[in-house]
Amino acid sequence: MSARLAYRASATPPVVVDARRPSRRLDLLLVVPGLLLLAALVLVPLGRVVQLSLLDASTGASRPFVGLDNYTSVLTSSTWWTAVGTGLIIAVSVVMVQLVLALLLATSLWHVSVLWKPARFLALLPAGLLAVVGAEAGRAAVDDGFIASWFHLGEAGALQSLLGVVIGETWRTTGLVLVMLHWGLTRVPRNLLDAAAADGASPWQRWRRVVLPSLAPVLAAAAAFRALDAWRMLEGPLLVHERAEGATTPSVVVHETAFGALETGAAAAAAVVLVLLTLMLAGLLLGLMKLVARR
Amino acid sequence: MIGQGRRAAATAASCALLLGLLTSCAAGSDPESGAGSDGASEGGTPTLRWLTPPDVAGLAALARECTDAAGGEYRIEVEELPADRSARRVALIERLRSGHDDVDLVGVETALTAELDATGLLGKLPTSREDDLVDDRSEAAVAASSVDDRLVTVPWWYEPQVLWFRGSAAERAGLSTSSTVTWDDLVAGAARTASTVQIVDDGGMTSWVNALVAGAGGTLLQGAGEGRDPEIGLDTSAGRRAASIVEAFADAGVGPGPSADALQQFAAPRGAFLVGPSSLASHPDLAVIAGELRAMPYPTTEPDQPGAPLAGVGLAPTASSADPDLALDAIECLTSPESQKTLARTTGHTPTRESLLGPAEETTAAETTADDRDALVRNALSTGVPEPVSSHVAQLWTAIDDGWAPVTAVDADTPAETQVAAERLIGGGLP
Repeated sequence: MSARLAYRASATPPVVVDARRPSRRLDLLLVVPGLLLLAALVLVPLGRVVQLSLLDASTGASRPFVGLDNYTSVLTSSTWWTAVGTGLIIAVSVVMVQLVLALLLATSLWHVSVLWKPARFLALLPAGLLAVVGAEAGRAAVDDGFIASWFHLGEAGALQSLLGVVIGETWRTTGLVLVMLHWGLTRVPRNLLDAAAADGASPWQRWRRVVLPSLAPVLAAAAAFRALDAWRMLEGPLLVHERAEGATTPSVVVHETAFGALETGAAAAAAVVLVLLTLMLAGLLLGLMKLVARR
Repeated sequence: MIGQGRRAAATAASCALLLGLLTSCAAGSDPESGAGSDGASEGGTPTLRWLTPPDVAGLAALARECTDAAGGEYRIEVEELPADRSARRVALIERLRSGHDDVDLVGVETALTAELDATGLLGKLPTSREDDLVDDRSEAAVAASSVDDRLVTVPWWYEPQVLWFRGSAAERAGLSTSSTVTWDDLVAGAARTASTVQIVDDGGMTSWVNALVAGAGGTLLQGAGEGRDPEIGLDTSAGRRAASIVEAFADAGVGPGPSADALQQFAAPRGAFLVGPSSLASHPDLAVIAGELRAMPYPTTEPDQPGAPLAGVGLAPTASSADPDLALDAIECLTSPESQKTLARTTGHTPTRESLLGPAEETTAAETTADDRDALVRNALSTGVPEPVSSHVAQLWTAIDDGWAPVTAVDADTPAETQVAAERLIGGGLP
């Protein structure tokens, strides 16, 4: 209590000296080994992949240096850019569907708060499944399961199977978004809502002017988290057995090139390009979050 | 309060770390399980692990025969590779590359001879014994097992594809049984009698295209020594002729092209013709119709220009084997005349020992008896078309499988498109 009064009184915050606290140098000494280990675990494999991407590495014993040839072949490959396009479409559509669904559910559960605990348990249950299980369930449903019979879908093609995989992934992870958004809703300032109600705002206006803006940072964070997850999706599209134009994601192209064709040089180059694209996507989403936070 | 929390957390963390270290130490000290390493086991008989493409029957019997013949010197254990062609290649190379020295001898498909040689994972065959190893082997088989005139694998079996048919299907379809049949005649005849032409799919599309292009006077892939830059002969008049034949096949609706259930469809009521290896006579899926099974030479692209696709398997010791000489002894036993006779009897594969094949004779079509079939096979071996040779042949497979299958997708542009795709893939890039 007295410390707080002292804080308000003085111009600069007081420096608290605690004899138990170790010095800054000791701090660094304790942290640096861990940081080095972390850096090694990330940078050494990345460096190895970059080195591999500069070689003509295949099944042969010799691995001559070829410079940027692998990168040229990746960047001029129509399969690669089609896969990137498919990956982006999947990421965008998964994010949109999940945000809308989760927002509707979260808002309803926010109003009927007594159902929240059981609903949260049920929503998080699918998230405990492995990604491959959810994707396989979705694919099987669309190929010859209940979705195929409900909508009288014809013979399963590669694109149809991919759609099933996306549906499976969406179902599995919507619970996570729901939990995030519900938390965001509980943080909406109550006094603002009451003030808006007192001013005569309709429920829709309260939603648009009070709830949505204060929910915006959480929405942006959820969008970023789900978009990156859907973009890097590998287990699901791997389950699509037939090869077809436009039915793979970049991760699958890298996997197939590395472990199907055994062309490790080209696959390494594709992997580096994928990392760069992902960084760009993450930067974009981060910028979006900052923009939303500033508004 | 805070201090107590920190202490509890530190204690928990160090306990977890200690437990982790203990379990990892315990797991590491487990004795190596399973047979497979070349160390002493079961009273000192070394075990040789033989990794080979799967076969419908007979591999275990061959291994047992040679184990008995070895008289305690070694014991051969067979391990089969996966059924799918691409999976076989990946499994073989990854297994040899993994550095475990538990595989001593491998069965290498002749299509992959050049690639396996380039990997350096196969043991070098000693030049002093090379003469013994090629003695009494058919020329075609030795050529398929060599790279740049250097023997890479020991020829084991090597066989052509033939045109199988049931009963009098050929006569009913109006096919001449006294000269070779062309693909056009076969398709027309089958369409006329509403029967199907099935094609076996274990690399079926590649061998079909290879045979068609060769029959039209071209070469699917040459300049194998050029590494990443061989000459692919798809975008040529021969390639376009091949595409027109496949297009006619698809338009006539006589079959789905190379398919996984070709054998079942052939054995079904509407089945009449089957294009596949000559060893299919002993296949269990065709056991029901074994009585009415007859063979003709492989259909040709142009009249009177025979050229059946040839394929086979060769044996080689691995570079990482603990005892390569012992592995070579085992290979010599597996390719001895007795073992080759057992091979021919149990699996139906054509042995590479010429003394077992007999002289090549001029044969006519529609061979019925087993002896006639042998003559058919011998003749096909001498006029046959070997697989394309390249250390990047799997990329060619991918390009052809993607571009030419399903057969309904083939048109006049297909050869040019697959030429570009094959050049991209063999050049080491993404499709």
